[in-house]
Amino acid sequence: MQADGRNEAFRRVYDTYADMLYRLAVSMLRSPSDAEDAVQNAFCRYLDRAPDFRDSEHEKAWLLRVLINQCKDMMRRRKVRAWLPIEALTDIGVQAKSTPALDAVYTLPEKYKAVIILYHLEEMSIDEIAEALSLSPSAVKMRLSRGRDMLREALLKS
Amino acid sequence: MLDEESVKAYKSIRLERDLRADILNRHASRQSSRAFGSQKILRPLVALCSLILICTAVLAGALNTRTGIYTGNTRLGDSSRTAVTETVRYTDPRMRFHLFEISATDDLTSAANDCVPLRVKLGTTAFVEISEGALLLPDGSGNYTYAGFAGEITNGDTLYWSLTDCETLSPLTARFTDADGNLLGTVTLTYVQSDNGWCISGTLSEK
Repeated sequence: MQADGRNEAFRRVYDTYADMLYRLAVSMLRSPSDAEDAVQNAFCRYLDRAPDFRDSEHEKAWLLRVLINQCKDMMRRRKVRAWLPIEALTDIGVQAKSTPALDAVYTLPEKYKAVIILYHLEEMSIDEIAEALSLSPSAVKMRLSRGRDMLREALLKS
Repeated sequence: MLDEESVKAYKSIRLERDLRADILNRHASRQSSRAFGSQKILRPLVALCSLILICTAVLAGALNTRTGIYTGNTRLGDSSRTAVTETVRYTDPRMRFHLFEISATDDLTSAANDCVPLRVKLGTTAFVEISEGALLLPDGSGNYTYAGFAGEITNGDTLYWSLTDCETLSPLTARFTDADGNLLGTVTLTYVQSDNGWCISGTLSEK
């Protein structure tokens, strides 16, 4: 019974957050298969050792933090440096269109890209992003401001 | 900032494959391994831990240890690596750094030859986030790989602070958290040159 309850809770969490985590992982890792691995690892960690969450926002922030850490670790191990437009991804599962603005977002350094995506694309608040990234709200604002500047420069160049 | 078409394009990225079964299978498999392992070794492990605790209590007074926050310089020595060994323990029993013990017989990959062992003894699995510098973790097959920005450490793991950037005096700043994200301790280290040769200077703080 207890296991059924946990599995049911997991299914709820999966249905709520899987796509969001996947989108973010694809944006960071630029590989759908690696992104799937990162999402799997994040949910496995959820099943293994998720704490008692205060509320759904705390749960979301925790999952995001775990996923971003997974992606950072995978990126470093891969030593990925090249940027690929999303159209170059041909693995099964990526059927997304892209736009010049989105391509420009993907060129941003990782720490600015995460904040820009979470704020402008996932529509999270500053406080939510701060909790997810373990940053102060002012640090999030600074990264957002700098990320926007870099995005504008990239769009003007293109 | 971003047009509606871009937002729409981003949100069209979706998982095409249902990962739930894979995730649950992996979790079940890990639970079984842990249960089997724990049943097999639990009783002798309890006995061994009790013995170790008693011995540790006896030896504690004989070791060169400091409790609390470490701040200071430790001479690294020259290329023969005759380093001073420091052990720093904290009031939180889960967090203990055993620093700078370098052995000429350490089996390191070529990538890790210029490293300072930062042996971390923890009572729990921890997560390290590195904001400056690079740490190397064992990859389970006798080699060492960059931990990158983040990595997981289990009790007894040895981390190596990579000094391949020592010409630029690349510092190390890292924080250790437990699995719930609670901060266990922080490390800041700098590799500096003095009249006595290269030294490591920095702080380890419990929280």
